[in-house]
Amino acid sequence: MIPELRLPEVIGFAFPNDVHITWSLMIVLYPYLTGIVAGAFVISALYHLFGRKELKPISRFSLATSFGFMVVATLPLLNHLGHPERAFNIIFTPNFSSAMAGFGILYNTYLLILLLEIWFVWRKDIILIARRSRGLKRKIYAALALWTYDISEEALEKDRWAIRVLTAIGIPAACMLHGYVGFLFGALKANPWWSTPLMPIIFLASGMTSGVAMLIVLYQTAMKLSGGKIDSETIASLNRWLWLFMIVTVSLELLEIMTLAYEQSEAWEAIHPLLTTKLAFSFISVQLILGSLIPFILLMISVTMNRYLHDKVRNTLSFVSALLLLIQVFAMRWNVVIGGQLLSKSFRGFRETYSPQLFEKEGILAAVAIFCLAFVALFVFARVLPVFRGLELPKGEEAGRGLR
Amino acid sequence: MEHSKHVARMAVLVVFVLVVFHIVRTLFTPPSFGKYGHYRADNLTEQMSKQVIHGGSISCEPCHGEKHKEWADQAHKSVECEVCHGPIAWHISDGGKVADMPRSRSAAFCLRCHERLDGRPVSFPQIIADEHLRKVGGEMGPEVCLSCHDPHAPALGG
Amino acid sequence: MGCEVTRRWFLKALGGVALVLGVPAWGRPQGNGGEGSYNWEDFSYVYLIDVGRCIGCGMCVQTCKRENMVPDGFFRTWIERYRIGEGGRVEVDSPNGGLNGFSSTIVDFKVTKAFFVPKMCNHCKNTPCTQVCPVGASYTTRDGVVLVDEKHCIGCGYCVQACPYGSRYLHPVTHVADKCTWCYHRITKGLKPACVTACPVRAREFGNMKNEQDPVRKAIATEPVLVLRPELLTKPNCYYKGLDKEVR
Repeated sequence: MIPELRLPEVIGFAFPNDVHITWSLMIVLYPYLTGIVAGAFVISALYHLFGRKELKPISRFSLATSFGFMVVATLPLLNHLGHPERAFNIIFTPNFSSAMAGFGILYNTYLLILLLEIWFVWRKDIILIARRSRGLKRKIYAALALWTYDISEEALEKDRWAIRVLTAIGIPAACMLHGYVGFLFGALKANPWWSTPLMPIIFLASGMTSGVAMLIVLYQTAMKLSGGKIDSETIASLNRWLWLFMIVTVSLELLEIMTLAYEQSEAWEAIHPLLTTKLAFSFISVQLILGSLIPFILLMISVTMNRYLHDKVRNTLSFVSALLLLIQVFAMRWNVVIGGQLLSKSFRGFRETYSPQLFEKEGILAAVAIFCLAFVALFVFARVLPVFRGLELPKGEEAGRGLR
Repeated sequence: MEHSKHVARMAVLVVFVLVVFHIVRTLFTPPSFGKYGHYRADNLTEQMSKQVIHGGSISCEPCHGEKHKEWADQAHKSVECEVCHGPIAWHISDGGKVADMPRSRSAAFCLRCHERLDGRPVSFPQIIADEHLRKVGGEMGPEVCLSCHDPHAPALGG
Repeated sequence: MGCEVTRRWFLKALGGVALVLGVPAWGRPQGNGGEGSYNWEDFSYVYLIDVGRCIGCGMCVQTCKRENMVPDGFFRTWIERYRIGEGGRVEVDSPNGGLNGFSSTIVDFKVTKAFFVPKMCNHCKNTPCTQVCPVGASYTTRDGVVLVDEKHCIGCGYCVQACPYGSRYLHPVTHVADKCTWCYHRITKGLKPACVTACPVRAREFGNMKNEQDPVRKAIATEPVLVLRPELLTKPNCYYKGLDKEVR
């Protein structure tokens, strides 16, 4: 029984098969999630590997954030696949000439590194919580500690060594987890809006931007809700990194368009009307003006006049810029994924528009639900393990090797 | 090495997980995969055994010999029977008739090939319906072409 | 207790791992080519389209749809009509892929040349689509036909994006990638693809490059032919005679 087809409006001439959008809102959401994963990890790495002390207050929190988004990252993909029950084919019979096959290896490798790093960072806390608990909770935490209870200074030194190693491997792993998506689009000669060697770097830079922005938003929200203090040095540092990443991102995005406009090859005849008509709102209004220009100015004020700013002002500028940049990065994903499919490979026409429905399988509600699930995962993590300050050994208690 | 028990234990766990994954992978890879290339070789047989729906005009001949002989000698001999009459699989199944053979009599159907359109090679016989009817003297109607032309021997005159 | 036991235990475990990793070698199937009475080593298929002959009747599209149960709104083959006039005006259309033929719609310029172009999967030699299939569901047979294994395909849609010709789609019912197969189920039985058989004016021809007497092989070898989007170097196996510069 063939479902009723809603044939979209086409302007100009599009190849008959081109009118169907294959990659939906789910595929816009997926790189958004992995971008946050990679960005949050890199901030954590700045403390754990590069010793940036001002980022210590959120070093654990950023790992937890990376984990929260990592856990839900496969969901949009599974929702989109025609046969999610065959999803494991990607790791059972991967075709390595395909960037998408890289997903299996890259996702699982990074997940492994992240889980290992989380274990080493929180090991002491797991053991201390195990010691203070009774019954089932004690058993669970003991299992999480793999039934070893050594938190002596020497053991913790080994942990710190392991963390440094894992972070060092983790940075390229996280970058590849997000960068491969850029390559997936950028290496496709069939679509001129996607095909550029800059794509992996653009994706990576904007992923970093969204990761830092998400951390700013979550950190400030968490502190507000729990009554904690927002560390001004931390926010100042995050502002600097956010400003840097967003400048790199927007420069690359504009560079790509300027090159296309200058070279004026065949693709430009189709891309120019795409940008000025179909994507006028999402690209020019949202991505460039609201999402790039305004945060650029706000962050410029925040970073260059950092010394003179009252904490409240700095925090507000930071929060607003971060929110706008989170929107910008989403708009960029939308413009790339959906924009590339609005334009037909005939170069003579466009699909009218793509409007995801609220209750569709790959629609708005599904996207919102998956996005919220990441916060739920983070919340659950924070209930299991302390995400801000680590637990301290109480006076008189021995580090020793026992559970006691 | 004194305080590394936990590191070693984690390392063993990781290796164990990798081994289990490898075993699962071997079990779940389809058996014919990789035989001729990076694909499931059994699919070749599956593709080859799909049902053939159109038998070609030759498959109409055993039952419709007369018509077939007439058609094969006339101007529409390059038009396959099944193009106008539908595929044989819709008509015959397991050696017996399962449905009537469609017959398209409408002028619209003839005009689908023979209406004069930009892009049709000039040597191809094509008409503008009104002009043609005016020239030969006839009234437009749903099956008007058949009042002069036999679809199996369509050419008139010498 | 301590380090020594750990090391010994670890080495034992390593040995076990090595044994287990040998398992795939035992299970790997052996190949020897050829399937039953049809031997794909004897064939290297090729398709030739003569644009000058096509009348745009759309019978090929109709026949393909019936032969392969192509769903409504999707196309394994389709016809495009080009009407070109003075001042570089070009009007291209493909009403429902040409499934019900074309009608004489009006254009607002004087048409100086017009033609119909049949399109389908080009079964490229340097396929961008099988390159991007993450699971090996899309592949090229040894007789040069690009196919999709509908039992292995996960429906990710990457191949649909990768095809520069727009010949692929995701089947709305089976949710796997689908496209023209050159009627593999017919050609391996000595028949021609359904579209080739249906064409009343011989605009579509099908041949075998490994047969020295093949007329299509001769035509490609001796007459000027073009392929679509040659600059992408996909090396299509569909050749066109009489293709205009306006056709992508």
